[in-house]
Amino acid sequence: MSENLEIIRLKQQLAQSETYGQTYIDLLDDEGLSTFSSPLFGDLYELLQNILSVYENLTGFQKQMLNAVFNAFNNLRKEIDPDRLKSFEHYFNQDNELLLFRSTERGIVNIIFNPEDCIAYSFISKEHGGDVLKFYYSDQDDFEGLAYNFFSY
Amino acid sequence: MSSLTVLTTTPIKEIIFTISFADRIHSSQIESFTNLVDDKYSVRNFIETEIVTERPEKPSAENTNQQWILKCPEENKIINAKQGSLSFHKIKEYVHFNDLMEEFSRIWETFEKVVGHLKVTSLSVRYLNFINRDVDESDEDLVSIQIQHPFDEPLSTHIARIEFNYKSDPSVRANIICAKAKDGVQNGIILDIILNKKQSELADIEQLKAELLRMRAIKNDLFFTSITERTIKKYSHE
Repeated sequence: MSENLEIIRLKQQLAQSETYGQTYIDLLDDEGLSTFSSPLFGDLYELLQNILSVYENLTGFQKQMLNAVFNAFNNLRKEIDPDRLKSFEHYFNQDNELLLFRSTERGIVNIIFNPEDCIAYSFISKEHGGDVLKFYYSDQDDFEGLAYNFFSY
Repeated sequence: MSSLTVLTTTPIKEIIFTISFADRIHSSQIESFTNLVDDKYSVRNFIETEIVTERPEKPSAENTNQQWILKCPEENKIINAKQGSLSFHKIKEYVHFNDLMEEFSRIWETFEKVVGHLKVTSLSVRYLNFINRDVDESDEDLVSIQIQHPFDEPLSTHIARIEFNYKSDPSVRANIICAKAKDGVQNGIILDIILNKKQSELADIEQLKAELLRMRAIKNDLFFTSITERTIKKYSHE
């Protein structure tokens, strides 16, 4: 147990560097900004901290919704299936939207955090048909279903 | 080894001092502290995350974590104040250790003025160096920490970590990390020296400074033991 804590502490310390924190993440994770395959992130909380640290310009609404989505991820892992969560990547686009996304054999699945209004869940299928688009406007919406769908493909 | 060697240019890219403490402090105290920090830290970011262990409708103060990140763009300095630790970063250009130590001591003094005397649990000094590697140089030419392997090909990437208690002061735990990396377009090696010292008490600022100076001497010894004569020459002539 104490050894595990020491390792987690070291990982956090490596990522703490402003200059080379991301370099360490890249070195230890071939998928760049992807998440659960990175040994730097021992749990969801560390990952959420990292995303909030990397993207300093997130609005209060985006932070609130991101918290709600991570709560749903955590509940999914704790109460439904600990192995359900899969690696995903994140990106901040020129429209000030935060994207969490997964590219799978079946298509691309996204959660898009608009700065002020809503978050959107989309699945873009590689086959004809089967695309999905849903909007969520409040952190009281059904994020459990959103989390389940995000890791379904 | 060559602890008296002085390099004319420095491979140091970032210096981090961290004090960890056991006490739980209120987020409003951290906020009060940030209001007392010098105005040159003009970029201020508050990050709050919720750690959910139960249903979201049962939030608890224990399940949230707040941190303030204060940046001084002109001097490339960062203060990170959060539950359990206070860190001070200096990035990019080199500044003399004593100047950083004095500023960090003042920051810690201000922090304790607001939150009260804290039960310090550890002190950390970290130096991140980037050693440039020219096309005709190998890693072995530059650093004395190597990964041995049975394959014929040179490693395209690697990260090596060694951890030990410093010989003449076993209370200091050293982590040295050597990683092949790039700094912009420049190929090279990150030489990351992390020293952690468990503390049972940090009575006052003078003790803090004395501990930092001791750890600096250890850092210097480990740095010069980790690099080769070629690297010393490289940074003595550029």
